[in-house]
Amino acid sequence: MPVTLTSLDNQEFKVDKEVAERSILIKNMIEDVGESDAPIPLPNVSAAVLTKVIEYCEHHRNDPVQVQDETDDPRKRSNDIEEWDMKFMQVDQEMLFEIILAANYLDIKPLLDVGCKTVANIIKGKTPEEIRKAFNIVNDFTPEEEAQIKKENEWAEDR
Amino acid sequence: MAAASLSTRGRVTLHDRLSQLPLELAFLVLSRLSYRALTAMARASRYWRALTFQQGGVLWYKLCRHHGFLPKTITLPPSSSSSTAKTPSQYIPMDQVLDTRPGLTRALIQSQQRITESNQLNDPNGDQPTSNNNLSNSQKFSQGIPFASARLSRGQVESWRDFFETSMLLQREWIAGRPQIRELRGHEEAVLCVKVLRQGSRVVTGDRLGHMRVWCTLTGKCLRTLKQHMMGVSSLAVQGDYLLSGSWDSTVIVWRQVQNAPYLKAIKIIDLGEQVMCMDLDQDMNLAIGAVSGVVKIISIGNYSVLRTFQGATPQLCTAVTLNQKTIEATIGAMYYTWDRNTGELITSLADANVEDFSCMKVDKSKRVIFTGSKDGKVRIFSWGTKPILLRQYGGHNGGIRCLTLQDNMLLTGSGDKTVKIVFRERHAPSLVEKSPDSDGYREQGVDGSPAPVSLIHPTNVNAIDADCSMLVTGADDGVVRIFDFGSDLWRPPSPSSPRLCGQASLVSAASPSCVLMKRPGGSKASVGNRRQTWGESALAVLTRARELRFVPVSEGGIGREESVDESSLPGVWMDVDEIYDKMIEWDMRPVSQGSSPKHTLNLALHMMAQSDPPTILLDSASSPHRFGLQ
Repeated sequence: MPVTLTSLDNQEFKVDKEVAERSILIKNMIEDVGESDAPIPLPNVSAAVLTKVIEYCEHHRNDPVQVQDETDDPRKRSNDIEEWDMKFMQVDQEMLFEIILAANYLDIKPLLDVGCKTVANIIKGKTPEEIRKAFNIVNDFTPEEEAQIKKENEWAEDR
Repeated sequence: MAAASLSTRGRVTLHDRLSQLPLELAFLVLSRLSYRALTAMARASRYWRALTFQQGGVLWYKLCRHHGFLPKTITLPPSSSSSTAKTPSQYIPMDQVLDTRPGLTRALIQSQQRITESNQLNDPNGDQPTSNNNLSNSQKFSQGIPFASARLSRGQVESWRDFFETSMLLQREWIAGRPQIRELRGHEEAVLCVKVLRQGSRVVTGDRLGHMRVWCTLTGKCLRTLKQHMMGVSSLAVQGDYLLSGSWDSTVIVWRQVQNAPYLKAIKIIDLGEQVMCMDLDQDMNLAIGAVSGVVKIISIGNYSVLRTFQGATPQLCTAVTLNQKTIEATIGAMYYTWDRNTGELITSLADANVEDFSCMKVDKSKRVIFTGSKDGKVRIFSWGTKPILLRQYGGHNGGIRCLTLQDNMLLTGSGDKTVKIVFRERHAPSLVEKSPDSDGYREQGVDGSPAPVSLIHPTNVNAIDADCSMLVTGADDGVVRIFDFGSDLWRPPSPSSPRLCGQASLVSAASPSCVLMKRPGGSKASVGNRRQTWGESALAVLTRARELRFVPVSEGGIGREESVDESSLPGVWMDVDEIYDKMIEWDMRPVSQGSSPKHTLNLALHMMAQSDPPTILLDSASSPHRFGLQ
């Protein structure tokens, strides 16, 4: 049975229940409300972002539900991203952060993970200056502080 | 946009979407970063720097665990042990971790002293992290987070970031394999056992004549000699304030560490009627001893009674025992046994036709593996359980392995081939260890993913070995106790004065005086080679350079500062100790001197290199004084 989702800008999306329930938020809503034809309002997500999110959920509709534990299994620390997800995440930064926020709001853990990994991969291997440039971060250190901080963190760059 | 309503931060510019992420999401991103990326992030802006320190430095704590810097077997209260470290409240407290790693604090104190010394000695340019200027600066700076380097150089670890930094620097020192060596002399016969005490920077050693000595690891002084055993002291075991020494004279002496004093007091002598070869002491003060005739006993130190006796199938030497909660393990001759501690029942025994007599064994309970060393010079790794399976074996030593210990992810073996080898376990037991971290995590890795083993050369056979996280202590046949201190100077900058030495590191393959890096097949060692120089390497560098000065036209670059060299000032290709030493000083290639008689050390190093097999340098013994040259 399809579920209707309404975005911030009042666009309606009809998706399979199975797909919609990738989002724990929607899943809980459906469980709370029971079977109903009423559209589910998602006042925090724009149509453009919701389109992307639904695309992700469609593709991952058959994935087993992950039993997520936060135990930081070293194996899970890897920042490897599946190929499809990687392509999916090739969007501008504005969209990337929108997706992360939406994934967080909709409680879609795997998508949130992929989003964070993507950001982490952008940060990886960059110098502080490059990071600032990549994300428009304003350098608010005084020159003396910057020198100090550089010194403080020299050990990490050393080799 | 929708996101604006979710965002909690407004003070950053509009386009800085990363900094606008809600805190918990920003944390999620940061928790995916390697330590390099995290420090780069901390340098981006005040906001990000502060974030890396938030929540008690959880991010760094996780990195510490990821890199294996946290103790694996910490004794948590039994109630919380079921779900270890799932929530921040169950993190191991910092002071507890520091208690288990006294070497860390010692390394910091030593390094701090060195910085102060060098400040007083030569450069008053105020660049050092300890200068007053920086301290006051750090206190008022950046949301109350003082500079880590200022804290650390005072010898304090205050955050998990500090802890990570220190642990990482220490790890690099081990991998680089350039420890400061201190020789503790006093024993008149071969040293058979060594034990690093957790409190008070003390090492206890025992020798073949039955003497025991207590040493201070900081000063290298012998604090006390204890003569109670009539024959060789074969093993030592420590638990809390108690130290037990087992001897060939068939006794075990229970010593008590006198509070705040380095000295031991004998409180009980237990006569066993069996020559003690090895011991293990558990938390309940039950002592397992392995005897000469293949007998294993469990003794209660509480009431000095024998709880149980086990007998191996053959009356051979019992070389190692491990006492566990329910079981007891022992290696006797070429056999490995596990017995049930309470019923006395034999659970498993293992005999491999290929295995020569075991000489030592250590159990890593957290990884569930047994490490054994044997007389054929091989380390064998077995699975730990009811049915041990040989997982892996590897050689490396040319003589029988005599002692073995585990420290963090390192396996340290001492051998009859006069060396100690440090193997980083990721490499040799890949099945035991996690995958390597993020691709930018370790650049120190070897070809197959882990650092090359380090080899520490001794003048005689190595009988005993013990370590903590910053030093390695060995006891050898020559009666000298050696401390290989990897934490003597953590902040020494990589010396830029001798770029040529980088290329030399791989040349020094087999016989630098006290410590060398093994040549790594296909891997380049350039960056590490520059960091610590020993006398042997410096001498080699001097000889190499001398040769180049002779044969390479000066104008063709490569020699750098020596713009105009007078032909008459060129050193010969054959040089004696004095000449080498002078050139070392002239070319700034002298290693940081540790001894009071550097020339003597250099002389020894040169002779050792010339006598090693194959020789690293050539010796012209016809001349007087002896001269040395390159091959």
